Amino acid sequence: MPMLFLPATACSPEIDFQPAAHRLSLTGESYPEHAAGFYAPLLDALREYLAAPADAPFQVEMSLRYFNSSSTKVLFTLMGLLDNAAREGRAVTMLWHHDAEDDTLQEFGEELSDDFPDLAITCLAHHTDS
Amino acid sequence: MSSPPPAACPTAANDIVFSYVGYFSQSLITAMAETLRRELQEHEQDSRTRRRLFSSFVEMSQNILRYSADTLTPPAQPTDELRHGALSLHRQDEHYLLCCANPVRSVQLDGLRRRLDSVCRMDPAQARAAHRDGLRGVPPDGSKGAGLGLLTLARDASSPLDYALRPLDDGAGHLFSLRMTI
Repeated sequence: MPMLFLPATACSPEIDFQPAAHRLSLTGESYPEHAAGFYAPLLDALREYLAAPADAPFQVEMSLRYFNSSSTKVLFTLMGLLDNAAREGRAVTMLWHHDAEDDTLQEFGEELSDDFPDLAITCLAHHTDS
Repeated sequence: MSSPPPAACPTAANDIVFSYVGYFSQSLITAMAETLRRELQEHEQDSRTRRRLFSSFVEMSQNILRYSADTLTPPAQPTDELRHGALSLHRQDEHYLLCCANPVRSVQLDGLRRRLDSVCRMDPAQARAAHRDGLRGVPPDGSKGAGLGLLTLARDASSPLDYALRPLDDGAGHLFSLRMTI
């Protein structure tokens, strides 16, 4: 199935979904005007990808500097898709990047681990000089 | 002199960090958000305060964009909307005050009042718990987002949110205003 790539804008993240390489990354800011509409193509593509068998683990990487409330809900839905797949035997790993001083992002990463126990989530704190 | 009504905002000019009354669009919100972030980088030392201000600015401005009854674009149109409201950020002693306002139709009142009464009774810790529950559940009726916007504000505030709903002179609706302290 075809890859999905959306370049980042000032208010929406870069989406890089490569089914053939079994990789997905989200990078940047997420406060688009209509989060559900923005993420719909990715969710559709993910559902299709996860429905088919695969011979390699699916690696998901997220480096979101900020996400608004609507994006938060969509991200949770996305995690649910990944978690379902993991529970059905698919290997899925998630790298959750966040600024070391950002307690909101860190807590969200921890909540993800609590809510989606079948996902192998690694939280990576990054220290910046600012 | 009587004390100001709930959710009124200070008007002294030297307290204002920014103030905008007019039509909101996503492009305007993005530009203001980026500018605010750069300004806070210079003027606010605490990273947690910077993040909360940024997040609250985005939530309040997008609430106006989604829900204001004064709309230039068809209400059912989900993107490229233009809706009217007011949003201002003030410094007060060691705190910031973030205020927003927009007209709402009378038919929206009851549901809005119920949600606001519920959220404005919560302290930040309660709002955090309610936010977590909300993430796992279904959005409230009439909500275009996840119903989490108000809870996100309440969670980041340093005290419970304060709101007012005042009838507009034209009789067509009410003015909803919200105030939070960070």
